[in-house]
Amino acid sequence: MKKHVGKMLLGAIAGFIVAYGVMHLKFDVNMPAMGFEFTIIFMIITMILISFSLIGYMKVKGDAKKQLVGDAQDELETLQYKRSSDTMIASNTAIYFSTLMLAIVSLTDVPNIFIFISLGLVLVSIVLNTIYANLGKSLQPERNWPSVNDKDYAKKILAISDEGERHVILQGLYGAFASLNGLLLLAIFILIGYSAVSGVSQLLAIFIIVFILIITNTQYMLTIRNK
Amino acid sequence: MKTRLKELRARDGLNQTELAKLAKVSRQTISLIEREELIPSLLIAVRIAKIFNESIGDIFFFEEDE
Repeated sequence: MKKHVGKMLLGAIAGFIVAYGVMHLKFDVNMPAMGFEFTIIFMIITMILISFSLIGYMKVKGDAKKQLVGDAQDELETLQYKRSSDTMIASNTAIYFSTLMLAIVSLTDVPNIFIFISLGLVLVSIVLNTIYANLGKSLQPERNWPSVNDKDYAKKILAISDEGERHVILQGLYGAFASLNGLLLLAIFILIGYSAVSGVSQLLAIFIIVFILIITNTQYMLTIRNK
Repeated sequence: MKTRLKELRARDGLNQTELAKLAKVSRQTISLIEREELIPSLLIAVRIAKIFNESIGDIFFFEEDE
């Protein structure tokens, strides 16, 4: 808990420093004018990520057919686990970057063709992410994997996980949750600084972030409190 | 908590994947227990003890200062 509070405070302090610096340096980034450059950059990044995830997916599927024995079998399982995790990271990041590209294309003066490209990339990323979510079935077909379309997918995944897997999931989720709190607090301070310098109010974004922080933290605390 | 899991696996010629199947857990769980990063539940400890035909205390044990 101390680490969690520490991360949040660190986020707030870092955000304040960044915002303070931005306000005093009169730093000005003309976001709308750089829309085209940003679009190209995020389009290339998304395409690289999609290609990386596809290569990873094919390697996992290909190696799943291998029949090894002894330590080689353990090594392959470890490698497959890492590969499938890397594939999911790339595919998740592709969804976020393509969504960011869509936002830039929609809000700035960029040729209309990019709207279709960004929409296509968002769709491809989401479809691939759904396909990759089934990678577990290729690696461990004997397990009773829930359908990705199941509304209780997350709960069922947790239910079929054993204690070691839950231990790892908990470590990962708690770390991510703590980072998210700190980073969102940092984002609020950056948005305050940006609003003050540019004169373009980011209050709506700040409101949304504050509500997300309140909802997720309350949800977490209530889950603990009610057990 | 210390464990002799790796030593016993080597004795019986089992890899982590095979032991995991016999103990009805994931290979990840066996790996974590072996690296002493996870204390197994009583259920898993009993299963592992049966597989190696040893007592739980002979596989998982505490050091003097623990």
